[in-house]
Amino acid sequence: MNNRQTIRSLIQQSRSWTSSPSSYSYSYIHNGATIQFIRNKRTTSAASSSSLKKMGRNSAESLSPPLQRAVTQLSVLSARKKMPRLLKLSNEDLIKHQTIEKAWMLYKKDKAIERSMRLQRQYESIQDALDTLESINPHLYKLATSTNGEGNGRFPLEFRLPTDAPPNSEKLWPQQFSSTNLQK
Amino acid sequence: MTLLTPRRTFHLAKPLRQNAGIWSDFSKRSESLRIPSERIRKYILEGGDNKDNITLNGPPSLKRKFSRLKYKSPEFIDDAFQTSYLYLQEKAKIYYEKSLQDTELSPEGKEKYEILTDINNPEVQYNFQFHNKLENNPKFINYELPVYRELGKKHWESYSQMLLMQRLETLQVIPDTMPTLVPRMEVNIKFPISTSVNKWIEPGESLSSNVTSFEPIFKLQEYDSLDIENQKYTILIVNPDEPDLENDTFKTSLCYGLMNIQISYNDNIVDLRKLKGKENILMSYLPPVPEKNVGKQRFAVWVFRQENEFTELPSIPGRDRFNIRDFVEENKLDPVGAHVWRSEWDSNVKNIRELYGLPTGRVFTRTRTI
Repeated sequence: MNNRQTIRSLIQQSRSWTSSPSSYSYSYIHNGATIQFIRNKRTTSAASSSSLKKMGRNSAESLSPPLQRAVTQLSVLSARKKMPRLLKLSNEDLIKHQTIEKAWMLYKKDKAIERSMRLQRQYESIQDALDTLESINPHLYKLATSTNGEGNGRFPLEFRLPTDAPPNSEKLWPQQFSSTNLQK
Repeated sequence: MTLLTPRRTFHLAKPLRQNAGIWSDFSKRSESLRIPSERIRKYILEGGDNKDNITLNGPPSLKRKFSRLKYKSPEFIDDAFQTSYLYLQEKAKIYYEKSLQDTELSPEGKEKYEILTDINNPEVQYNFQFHNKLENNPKFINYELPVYRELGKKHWESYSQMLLMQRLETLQVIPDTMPTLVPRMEVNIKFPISTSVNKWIEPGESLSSNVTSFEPIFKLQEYDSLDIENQKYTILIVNPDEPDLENDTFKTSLCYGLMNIQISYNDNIVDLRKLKGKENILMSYLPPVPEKNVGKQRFAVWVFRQENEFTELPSIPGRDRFNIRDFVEENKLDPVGAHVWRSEWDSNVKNIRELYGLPTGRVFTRTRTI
């Protein structure tokens, strides 16, 4: 692959990145050489990395660690660099985007209305059933609507699930445990 | 390997969408609800893969070929758009049928359904968002249609209306001329015959005497639905900052008065050259000629809806000591819009005075001589 093709492949690669510019840093392996990008800035050049490879050095070491640190720091200095680039949409795509957003909003609104109406119906149905029960058997109604579990054979609402080790304020965690103690 | 990713030029899997929905049916609906450019319309409704746009290689709104080639749409936007479009169209269909079927609907109710039918239509949104809303071309933005009036009103309320009210309040036009204003009409002014400033004036701007030497044109944009064929308007320009030395205060003078003005939703520029004769002119235009050292004078433009047409214009004694509140009350005028600009003495005032045959102005000093 000659140099021109390298540039072309780079252009294509960068074009595909423009659609998702949110990642902080990414590297791209080309001809066995790693080309690193930090905040969309290339920190190693393709040419230098390939020439380094000829010299028998690893391309990842093309920048010395202090220099790499300096590059990284410079790339984060500007506040503008910290914000991902604004997605630029053409007029047509902006209208499409707004249409999609609007449809999604209305869809969610419809779902929410549907759900609240369903809950309303359920509530009314429960209310109806309890009213009927009250007229038929006041005692059963009282048992069914009492919140504490006294006398109705139901678990109280405050009841928790039984566990192997119920919470104990004195010994929540075996602080003194050690494997040496166990061996003794 | 090529620089451009090859696009599909054959084997179009996606069929062209049939003209089935209400938004694509223009037999009963206005042509202004459609994007006039067929290429842009197809790009939005059928996506970038249609026949026209494959040869174009990108969105048609981008003018440079380089930009079109470089541009990349978000992934799957066309698929998501198709689903959303059909969903919104189904919802709009309910309102559309209501607006057609209900014969007992009031005009307001019918209009409400017409707005709901088209407010989410991407074609309407495209036409409105990317074309001039002030100097509107009825091909794109037709204010005869309730949906465009609704969008226009929202747009006006989002900025210009607030700016106007802020300027009226900070410059004390309210309550120095009229007690208050409930803005219902967008008023814009421009001095087209002047040599330098050919633009719509922002409320409260300071203008030189050269700019204001001839009468302005007014653009009265109605957003409310009313019987616009029979509605008449009155325009008054008053200057509340004329020095009144006798009473040690300021007096209001009338600079310009027009009555029985007729507009329509789209053709609404009030230009003296377009008016048929002198029958609309209550008081001819007197340009701002502030005297030296009186400071900045406010020129308040007030627009009123008339209750009915005046067969004979009301007679007023003169420009001086014009009581706008009494005039409005006597003639049953309804204030709907306003505007304001400011003027100050400058070296050109002398020429304007000569042009209109006015006496040379006074020069005010710190010590009272008159």
